[in-house]
Amino acid sequence: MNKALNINKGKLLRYAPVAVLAVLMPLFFRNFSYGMLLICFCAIYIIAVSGLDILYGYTGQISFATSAFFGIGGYGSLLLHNHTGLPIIITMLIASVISCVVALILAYPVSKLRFAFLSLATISFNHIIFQLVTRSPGGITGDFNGAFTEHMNIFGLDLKESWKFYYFALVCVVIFVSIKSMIVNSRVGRAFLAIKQNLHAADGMGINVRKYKVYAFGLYGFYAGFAGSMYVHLVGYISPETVAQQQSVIFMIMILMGGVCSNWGPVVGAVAIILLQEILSHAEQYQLLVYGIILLIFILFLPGGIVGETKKLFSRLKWRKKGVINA
Amino acid sequence: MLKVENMTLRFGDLIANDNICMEVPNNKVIALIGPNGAGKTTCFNCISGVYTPNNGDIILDGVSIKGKKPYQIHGMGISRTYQIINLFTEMSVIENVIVGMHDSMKSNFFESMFHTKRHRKEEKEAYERAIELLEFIGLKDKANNAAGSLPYGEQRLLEIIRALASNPSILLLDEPAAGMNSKEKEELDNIIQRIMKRWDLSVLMVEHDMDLVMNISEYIYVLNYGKLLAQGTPEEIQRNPDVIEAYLGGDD
Repeated sequence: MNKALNINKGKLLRYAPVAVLAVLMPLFFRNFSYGMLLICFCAIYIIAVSGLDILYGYTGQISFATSAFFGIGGYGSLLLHNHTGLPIIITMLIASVISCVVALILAYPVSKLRFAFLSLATISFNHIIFQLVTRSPGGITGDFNGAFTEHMNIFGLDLKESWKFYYFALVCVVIFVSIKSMIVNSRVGRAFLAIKQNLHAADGMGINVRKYKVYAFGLYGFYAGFAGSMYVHLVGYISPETVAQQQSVIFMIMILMGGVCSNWGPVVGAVAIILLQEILSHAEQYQLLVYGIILLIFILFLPGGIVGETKKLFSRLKWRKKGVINA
Repeated sequence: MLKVENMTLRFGDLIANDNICMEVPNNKVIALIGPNGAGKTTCFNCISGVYTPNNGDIILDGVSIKGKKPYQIHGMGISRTYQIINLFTEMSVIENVIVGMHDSMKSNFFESMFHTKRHRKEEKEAYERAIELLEFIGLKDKANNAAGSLPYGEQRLLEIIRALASNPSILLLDEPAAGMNSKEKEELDNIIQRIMKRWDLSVLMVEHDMDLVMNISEYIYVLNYGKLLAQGTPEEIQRNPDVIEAYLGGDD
C-alpha cells in the first residue's frame, strides 16, 4: 500500500516503546534536574528543526533565519504576556501566528531566490531582527540585557519545574511532528517534494511553485516561532544571543546532522547538538571549530545525516541478506 | 482545439519563432518536424507557457493562453513531456504520476494538513487511478521504484503517463522517441495509438524519427530557421521539394 494513504497501524505499534520511554523519562532524571532541563531544550529544538525540515528538507529552500523566527516567537510571547497579561498559552499562539505571518511576508519576495542568494537573503533578515531586538524602540526588549517574563503555566497550572514542563513539551512535540508527518504525506507534501526535486517539471505539472514555497515558509515560521515562545517561558528570560546568526547556523547543523525528510532526523540532530554543547561547555572557544568540522563531515561524507545514512545502511543489509546484491 | 496565430518569439536579435500559424484540431495527432535548431522546442515552450511570445496569440478552445504561467496552462488542459527527461527522480514512479494529478485534486491546505476524510478519499482514488495508468503503460510492477532508477525508455513512458494523469485535452510530446531503440519505438507507436483511442485528446508531437511521424500523424508542420516551411498530410510532406531540400541540403 502507498504510505501516503493512511497511517500504518503497525508503525504506530512500533512507536510504543519510544512512547513508554518518553513518558517515564522524568523518573530517570529524578535527581538530575539539569538533565531534565536539557531534555526540555531538546524538545524545543525538535519543533524548530522540524519546521526547518519542512522548508529545507522537503521544499529545498535553505534558511539561515531560524533563530530570527525563534526570536519573534520568544520576544513576541514575552512582550504580549508582560504588557497585556493574557494567559501564556494564548500569547504563545499569537506570537507563533505573528512569526508565521512575518515568514509569509518574507517568503513572498525571497521565494524567487535559490541556493546562495536565498541564504544571503535569510541571513540579512536574521540581522534585521537582531538589530531590532538589540536596539528596540523604547528599549521594550531590554536591548542587550535581555528581558524577563513568567514561567510556563496553563491557566494557573504551574509548569515551572522542568519535569512538569517536559510533559507539556512532549505533547507539543507529538502534535507538531504528527502535523508535519501528515502534511508531507499529502497533496501539499508531494508538491513540496516535487518543487525540491525539479522546479520546472513541478511548474509544468500544474503546481503553483511560488504558492507552495510561501506555504512552506509559513509553516516554518510557525514551528520556529512556537519553539521560541516555549523557550522563553521555560527559561523565563530571553537575550539577544538567542536571536544571533550563529544560532541559526546551529539549527541548520542540527537538520543536516540528523537528516532531512524524516520525523526522526530533527530529533537525532537536536539531541546530538545539545549533547555536544554540554561536552564542549568547558571548551567554549573550540565549539565553532568542532561545529565547522562536523558540518563539513556531514556535507561531504554523510549527506543523508545520521538517520538517512542509517536507513541506507539497513536497506543495503536487507538486500544483501536477500541475495539480490552481492557486491 | 488549439490555435497558434502569427506567433513570434525573439531572443534579442535572434528570431526563434517567426510568425508561426498552426492548428491542432480535436482528436488528431499532429507532428511538428524540422532540422535541429529550427525552433520546435521553443514553439512548445511558448505553448506551454515557459516563454511568452512577443507577438501573436495562442488560443485554446476560444480562450487566449498567451502570457499565462506553465502551471496555469497545465490546469487549462495542455500537458507536456520534455525533450530532456524531467522526472522527479527520487520520488517513486507512482508518486510521479500522482504529482501529475495535482490540479485535478481538490483538497486544500488544511484538509491536507489534517488528513480529513475528503483528503483521504481523494488520495485513495488518486492512488488507484495511478495504478490503473501505470498498468496501461506497462509500469505497474515498478510502481514503487525510484523514477530515476528506470531505464531510459521507461522514463520516457513515465513522462507520458504523468502528463496524461491530468486528463489533458492537448498532449505535447517533445521528442518522445529520442534515445529509444527500434523495439521501444514500435511500442511507443502502439502506445500513442492506444492513447488516442482511450482519451479524448489531441497530440502535438515534435519528433525526428520519420517512420514514427509518417506512421501516426495525420497532419505535419515543418519548421526551418524559425519559420513555417511547409504543412500538409504525411504524403504531401514527403513529396514537398522544400522539405527535402531543408533536410538533405540543396544542389548548389
